[in-house]
Amino acid sequence: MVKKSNIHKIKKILLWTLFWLGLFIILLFFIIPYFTMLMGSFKPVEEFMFATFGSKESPPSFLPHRFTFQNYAIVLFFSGAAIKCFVNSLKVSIGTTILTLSFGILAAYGLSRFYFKFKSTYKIALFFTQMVPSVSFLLPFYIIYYVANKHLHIPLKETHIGLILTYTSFSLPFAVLMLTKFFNSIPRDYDDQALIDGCSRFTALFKIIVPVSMPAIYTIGIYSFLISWNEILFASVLTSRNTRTVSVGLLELQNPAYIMAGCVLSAIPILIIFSYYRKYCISGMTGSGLK
Amino acid sequence: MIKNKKSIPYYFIIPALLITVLVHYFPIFWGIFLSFKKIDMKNFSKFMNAPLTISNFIDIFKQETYLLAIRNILLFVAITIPVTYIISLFIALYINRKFAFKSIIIWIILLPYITPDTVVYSMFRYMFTTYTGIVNQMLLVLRIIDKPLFWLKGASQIWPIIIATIWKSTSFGTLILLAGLENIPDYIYEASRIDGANIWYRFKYITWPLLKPVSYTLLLVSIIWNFYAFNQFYVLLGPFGPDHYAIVPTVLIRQTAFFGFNIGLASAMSTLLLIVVLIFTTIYFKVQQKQEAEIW
Repeated sequence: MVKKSNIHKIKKILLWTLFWLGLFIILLFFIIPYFTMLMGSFKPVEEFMFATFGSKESPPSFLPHRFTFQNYAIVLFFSGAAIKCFVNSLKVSIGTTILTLSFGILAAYGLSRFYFKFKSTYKIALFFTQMVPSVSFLLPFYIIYYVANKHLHIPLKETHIGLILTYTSFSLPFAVLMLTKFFNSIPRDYDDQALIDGCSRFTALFKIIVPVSMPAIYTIGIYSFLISWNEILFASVLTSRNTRTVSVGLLELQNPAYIMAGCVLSAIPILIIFSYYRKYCISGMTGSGLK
Repeated sequence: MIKNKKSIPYYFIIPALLITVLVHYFPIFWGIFLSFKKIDMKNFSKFMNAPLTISNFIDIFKQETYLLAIRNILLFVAITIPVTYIISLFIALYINRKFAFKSIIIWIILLPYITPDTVVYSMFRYMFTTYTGIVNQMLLVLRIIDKPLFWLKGASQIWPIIIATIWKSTSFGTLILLAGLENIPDYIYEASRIDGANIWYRFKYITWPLLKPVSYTLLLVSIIWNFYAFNQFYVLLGPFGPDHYAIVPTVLIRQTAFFGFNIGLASAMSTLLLIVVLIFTTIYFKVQQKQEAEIW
């Protein structure tokens, strides 16, 4: 009897160990590249440039032979470009978020609370735009901005405004559709009550509906922030040296060691957002689906 | 106030409607329009005067690079998607149980998904560098190769991209499949256990069929996503892009437009890509309607 239960116990422990071993391998699969990046960012420049195979002193390795914070210092304090890129990215991302949210909330409220002609047509049209690959917008936007700059003297090409408009066009359809869905789940009695108490439609929206739907608004906000922080294709075409965003600007640093340090720095804000607002990030990113 | 009550909905809708027309529909049709014009360096400043032609569409198929790009993207899609799917299904099945620190582990698995593309692909770029990259070093230490390989040059340059893409999209795949698995109610498994079904039968007759809607969604989304992949090519192979071994439509469009400066031809290419993606999208919607699968 005692023996049997012992065998059971051993079996259990063995299975447990095996399970965690497998899990450990899965985690290694995901962590190794990050580890390489982090260690790479601590490597001195020479090690990145001249590490060679077969040499006893400095073969390429995971761990730096000599730890240094030089790369971070250079990226942060001595190359003006990196900081500028961060600032540009922040401007563009925050601009996109604000624009998406303001248009999105208004449109979603209209879609969920009123009946008007062509309502479903508009919804389908929005759905459709989410499916269009972003590259099909590249040349039209480029030419439109070029013409606007040259003939109409509206500074859209190579400015933040142009980039914000572009990214808003990516995030707006999803924002409207998701917010409409969320607003539909809020009872109309809320609005009616506010209207009876003498609110206008707008104050009802911003005093009653918006506070209630904060989760959805967080999701949309984070989603549009991430989209504009991460986008590369348009940023590489529609920006000049002064308006580079982080996702493109990073790649223009002179040395791999600096790029690694820059990568760590540029991932940090995203990771902080992700850790705090994980729920919203996930629902935003899975919902986005296509862009 | 009461008088113009009918116009109220339009106050809410019109800003977004205007923006939709301005930044979505106008550019789409503008792009299609551009693809019927011959626009290059010479007539760029007054391209509106150029006559409408379909010569761009004919020129596309005369170009060897476009066919190469299609071949490459098909290869890319055909490898990344099944491999990603299998790995993510495996991981999702593996962690679909109760254990300690589960939420931390899911957090780690989701990291690649949330990390900016620039960062992810830069990491891979420096893992695959020829003389200082860790991949070559590992292979040398394990004696699989005896001299460093040029991963990012020549014919092998698509492989690092495929590996990096698989790594990044596995994270998303796992997330979606895990959500799908968690939606399968426990009592079905319990009933099957009472009936004496073993682990393989449980997978074959319960998990697999019930996971089908989620799998469809995931596969179609990844097909559409990977069909116009750009970031990995740009970051891993640099702004001047890949050689013809790894050229894909999106990259080719950018190169034709901004290095070759043949905007008409590039527009025609993106119009074609749009058509292809729309076909997939239509399938996606049909499947979604049929399955009534919700991804959010």
